[in-house]
Amino acid sequence: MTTDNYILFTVAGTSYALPSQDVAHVEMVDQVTRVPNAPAFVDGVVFSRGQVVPAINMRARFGFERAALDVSSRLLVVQSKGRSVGLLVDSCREFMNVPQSSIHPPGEALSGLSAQYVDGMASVGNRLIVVLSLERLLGSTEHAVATRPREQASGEGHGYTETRN
Amino acid sequence: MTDFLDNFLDDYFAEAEEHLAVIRRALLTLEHSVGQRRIDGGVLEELFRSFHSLKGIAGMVDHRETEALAHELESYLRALREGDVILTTGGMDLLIKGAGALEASIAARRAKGPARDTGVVVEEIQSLITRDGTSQPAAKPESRGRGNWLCTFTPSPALIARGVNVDVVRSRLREIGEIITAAPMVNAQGSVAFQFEVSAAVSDELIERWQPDGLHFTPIAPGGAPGARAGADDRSGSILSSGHYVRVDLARLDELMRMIGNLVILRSRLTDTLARSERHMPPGQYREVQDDAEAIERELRELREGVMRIRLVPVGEIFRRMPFVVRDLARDSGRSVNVVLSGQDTKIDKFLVERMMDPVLHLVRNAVSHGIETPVERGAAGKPPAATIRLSASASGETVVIEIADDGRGIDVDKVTARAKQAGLPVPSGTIDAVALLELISAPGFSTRDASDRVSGRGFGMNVVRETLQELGGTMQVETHPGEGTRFIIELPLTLAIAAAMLARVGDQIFAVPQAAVREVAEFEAASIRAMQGAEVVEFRGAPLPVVRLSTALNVAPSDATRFHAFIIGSGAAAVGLLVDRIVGHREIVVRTTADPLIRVEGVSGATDLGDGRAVLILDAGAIARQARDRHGRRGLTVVRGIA
Amino acid sequence: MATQKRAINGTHHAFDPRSVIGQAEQVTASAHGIARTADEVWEGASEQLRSLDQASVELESTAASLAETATLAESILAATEETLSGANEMAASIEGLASNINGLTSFIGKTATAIDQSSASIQSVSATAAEMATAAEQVTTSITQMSSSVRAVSGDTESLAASVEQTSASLIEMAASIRSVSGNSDDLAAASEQTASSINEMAASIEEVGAMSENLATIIEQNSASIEEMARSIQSVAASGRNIADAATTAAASATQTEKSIESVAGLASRADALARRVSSEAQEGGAAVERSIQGIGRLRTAMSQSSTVMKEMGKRTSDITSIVATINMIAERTNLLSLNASIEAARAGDAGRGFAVVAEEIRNLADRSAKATADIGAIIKGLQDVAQEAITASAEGLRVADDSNAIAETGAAGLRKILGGVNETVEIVGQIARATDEQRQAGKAVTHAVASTVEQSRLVAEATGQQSSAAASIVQGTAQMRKVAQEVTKAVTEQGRASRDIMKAAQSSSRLAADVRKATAEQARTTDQLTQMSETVRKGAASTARAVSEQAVASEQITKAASHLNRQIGLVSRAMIEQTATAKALANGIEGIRTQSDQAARAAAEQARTMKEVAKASEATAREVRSVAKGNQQHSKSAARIVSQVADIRRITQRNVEGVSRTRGGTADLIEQARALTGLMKTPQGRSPNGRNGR
Repeated sequence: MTTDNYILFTVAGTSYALPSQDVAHVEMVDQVTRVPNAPAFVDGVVFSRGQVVPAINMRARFGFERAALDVSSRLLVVQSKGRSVGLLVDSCREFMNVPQSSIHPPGEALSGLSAQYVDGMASVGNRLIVVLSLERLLGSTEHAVATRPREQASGEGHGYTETRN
Repeated sequence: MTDFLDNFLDDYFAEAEEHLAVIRRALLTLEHSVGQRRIDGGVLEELFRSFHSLKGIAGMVDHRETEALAHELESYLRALREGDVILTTGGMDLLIKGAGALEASIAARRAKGPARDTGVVVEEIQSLITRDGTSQPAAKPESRGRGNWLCTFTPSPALIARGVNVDVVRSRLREIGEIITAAPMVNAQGSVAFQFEVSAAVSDELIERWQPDGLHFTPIAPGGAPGARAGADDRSGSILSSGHYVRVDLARLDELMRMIGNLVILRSRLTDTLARSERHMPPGQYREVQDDAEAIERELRELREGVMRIRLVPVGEIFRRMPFVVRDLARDSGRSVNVVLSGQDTKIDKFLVERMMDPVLHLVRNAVSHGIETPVERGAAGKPPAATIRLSASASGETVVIEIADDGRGIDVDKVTARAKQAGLPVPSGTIDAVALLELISAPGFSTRDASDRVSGRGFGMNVVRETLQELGGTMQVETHPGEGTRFIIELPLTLAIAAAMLARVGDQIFAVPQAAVREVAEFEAASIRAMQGAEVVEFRGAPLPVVRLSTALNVAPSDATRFHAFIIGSGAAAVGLLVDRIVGHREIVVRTTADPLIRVEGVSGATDLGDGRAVLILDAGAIARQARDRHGRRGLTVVRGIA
Repeated sequence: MATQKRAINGTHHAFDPRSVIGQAEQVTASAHGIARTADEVWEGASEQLRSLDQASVELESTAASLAETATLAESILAATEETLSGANEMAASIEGLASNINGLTSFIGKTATAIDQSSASIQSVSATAAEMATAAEQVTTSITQMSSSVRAVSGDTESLAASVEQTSASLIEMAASIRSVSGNSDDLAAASEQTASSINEMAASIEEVGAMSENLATIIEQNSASIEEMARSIQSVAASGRNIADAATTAAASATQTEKSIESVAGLASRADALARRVSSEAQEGGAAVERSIQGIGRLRTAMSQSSTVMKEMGKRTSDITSIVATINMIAERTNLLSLNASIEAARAGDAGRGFAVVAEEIRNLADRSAKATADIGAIIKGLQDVAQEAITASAEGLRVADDSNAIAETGAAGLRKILGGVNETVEIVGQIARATDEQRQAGKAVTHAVASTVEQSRLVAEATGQQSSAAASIVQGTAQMRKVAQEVTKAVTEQGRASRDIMKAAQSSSRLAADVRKATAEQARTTDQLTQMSETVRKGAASTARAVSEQAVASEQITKAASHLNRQIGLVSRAMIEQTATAKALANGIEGIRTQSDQAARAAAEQARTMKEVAKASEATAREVRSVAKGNQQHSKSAARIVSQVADIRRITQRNVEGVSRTRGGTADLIEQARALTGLMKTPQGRSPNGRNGR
């Protein structure tokens, strides 16, 4: 099913969009249980509707400093290939119908970590929104897991020591 | 699709599973009636109802291929019941095949894959009815012209939003015919539906057109088919054979358990509050309240245990599928196999049953594909032509032991070694013992798949079996004897969803350790820990005990505690002590698995919720201990069993 | 006499007419001498009689004076007892004062303790205490001076006593001398007896005169002794009177001194009272001021507390609002979340969910708007909260300061209250002292008055005693004169007797023998020699009398010396008194300084008490003396009565002497006549027998 509906969220001041059908639901988050030896961008696990889902810190995923969770922090529970994964974002307040015509392929200007997960750029009004590809986002995380050094799991590699809430 | 429909689908799959289970059981019974003129009506009735119900619910969720297949099977059964046809071996095979096809089509839908084509099976059945039948199947009511129909209307918010409500349906039905009876019914999932028995001319086009409006038509045989009389009968078909059981969604039990957990937490808070307010209350009144609080605690404990018991189901649910699988495989591979089941009534957690289905299936398929010889080979070996696969289950304290044994040729160690080498896997030099053998065949990338593994090779290797067991906190052993057979012994915790666990603090985090994995707990002075050969040991019961600091293993900031609590895992030379800062509690926890690869880390088997909505990680103490042993060069030394 | 008669008779034969004529002429001459002597005796007796009369009159006046003195002594006794009781009362009062002062001292001590807490008060009190100490020292000095002066007086008094003793000794000496005079008189009397016996042969009246003269001498002796006794007694009374006067004067001085001291104490007490009252009222004013300030602080505190409460309440309300805002914000967030999820679901439902999607969007918009609004409110509230917090902090600080001030003020007030309590107690005690001092002053006045009257009475006593003394002295003088006259009479009588015997002898010789006249004349000459000898003896006696008188004079001189010594002593006493007065003045000056006079006043009071005791002692001595004066007076009265009766006896005897002498004069005239007749006989017929014997 093709849809023009997107869920908009912000990470480190940038607005991103995910197709709404990829998003199971959005919820508030106040606590994430750390999982030892998990990938660096995974804050840990949270319970979401009776399910244990990993929480990917999108700031960390995109190479930003982590920020404390607050009232506007959100967990986007996304679904892809039977997996349920939570994305920790700074805020998520908008549901928007974005015409396909306003989505353009990412330009050269867009670079950096997030570039590889970008489907396109959408300009709505005077806002520029980065449209993400969930498949690539999660696929890359899987890749990250697969390439995770074995030693790290046994605690001999560089540990995952960032402070979290 | 909306949540509503998703939930509905979940319910559908759950109910379909129930019916399939009934069907499998009934078919096993029916097999003994092949060729007989008179067949046990009860079994036929049971089968008929199950197919009928399946047909109905498949129609409701718009799974046409399933519906059609169920319909044909139902027709065949009706013919059998009416005595129109005699149950032949071919008919029996076809019934089993049809049931398998039903299962497959439902499973495909469940996996959100494309609908499976059931047309071939449908045609087979139709031709069988025609061939075996002494008369035309009576099920076709005058090409769906005027006749008695059972019309079910299931309202939904969407329908109501579109203006389709029960009154509209009633008026529509009046337009096409006469309403004989009308009754509301409550589905097992708790939603309300309306059943109308109408006498009307119902065209296929009409059925199609009204389908989106939640209207579903089922023709009723003129003599009054079973289950067509009233909704109550129909409902009874949607549950197990006895009318005393209700089907409950596992998630709801989890939810219930979570709520109980909350209650337990609230109650302990109440106790705290009570203790604080003791000074401000008259002693008599305080005692009364305290008594009440204690009574609540007792009731809560019983409630928790009750809910836990609800989750336990017979292992037979796994086992009963196997004969069909074996039957198909044996027939396809030209082998003759008897499946012997024992201990089917052994209870195991529903969640474990679901998760263990595939691993057991895989092991059984492996046995048929690789273990059992052809009848010719068997004859040459002096064995009976029909091989035997024994599936047995027994409870042993907190664990359940499942054994899958065959009397086949046994595992060819040389062949395994060769293939492992071929796959580039590290092969230990020297004698390959049972543990090493299991290691090899469970290694990722190891596959014995060949041309004959058409069915078994569905991408489900021993590696997945191992991972699943690891996830469930179980273990596996293998015993194999050339020419005599192979036996897999699986040990599982009785229930995974609810487990007794110790809560321990490591740094600033609380972890849960399933009690089943812990042999005992001990306390050590920090000063008594000594370094030895790159590992840390303490003296325990007169012998050095390797210890693992969980703070190190879990990358948690270590505390400066001078005393540690330790979980002693394993016994004898395999014993390892896991050091925690402090054991802070002991309770029953509701286990949730951490299936996602992002959080599938060694040493963590799942998460639980202590009642405050926060996740607490459940440690796989065995895995951590194993890791420690591996790291310290003790690998395979005296490990007799172990998934490794 | 019988022998002499015989001797005369023996010479009777050798009578020669010419020698008889010579003898007759000699007899006539002797008779004329006897007549002259008799005249002289008569004159002496008359003189004695007159002297006795005078003595009698003086004795009567002495008796009267003694009676008066007794009365005075009684009144002195009464006054002295009054004084004594007054002094005792005053001593008690002074002791009470002393104990009051002691109480004052202790209260002043307490007050001082209380005052310690207030620096200003402490300083003023300690200054006062210093003053007090100085005053005390002054008082001590004064008292010491006074005491030493009293000791000096005492020493003087001792010297006085010694001089009195001396005087007494002199008097004893004088008495001894008088006794020796008396002894001379005895000698004289013996000589008189000899004379009397020589005129034994003379007329029975001469014998009679002799016996009567002896009798008279004895009585005079007795009288003289009594007079001497009385004189001594009078002297001792006079000494006592002087002692009384001295003691009274001392007591008067002490009383005056005491009164002055009391006056000054009273003045000081009243000044202290006034000062204490002023201090009390000032302390009360201070207390009231402190109370007012405490109340002010209390009101301030209440106001601050109220404002703080209001602030806190406001802060709490603000917090409530903040939490409400947070809740609203949370609701907005949740609403947004719900609408978002609703949108997701609606999108999933496709066309069916479109309407719902619109509603969800509307809801989301509303939620966003409310989120924005709550954010604005939150910012405003945050600002408000900051302000409220500042206000709370400020008011809490204010409250704390107010509490501190209050605590300090309370401490000050408590200190003031203590001081006030101490001051009030001081005021009360000072008042008590003032009242006690007033009572004392009155008692002192009474004492002074009583002492003054004592002094007056003493003076009167002294005067009377002086009069008595002088009367006694004149009596003694009279007695001495009387004794002298008596001696003269005795001598004359003895001479008469001898002459009579000579006459008898001559007459016998004349009557027997003229020849024997010569012999008789020789005998007469011998007799004359004897007479001369006797006269010599008389002269010797007079000389010895004169010597005795001279001795008496020496004794008088000694007495005078003693008196002058006494006077000197009195002068010393007087000087001591002056010193005492000066000391008292110094004391008064010293006491002037007593302001917060605890110790000093106590010591002064003790001194006063001692002085009072002395006064009492003096009064007691006075009383004792007065009693002894009274007793002496009674004895005097008795003695006087006895003397009067004795003098009466003397007078009677003297009367009889006068009569006897008159008869002697008559006999002598007869004798002269007969001698003349005898002479005539001799010249004409010789043979006429001389009838000298018959001439009687």
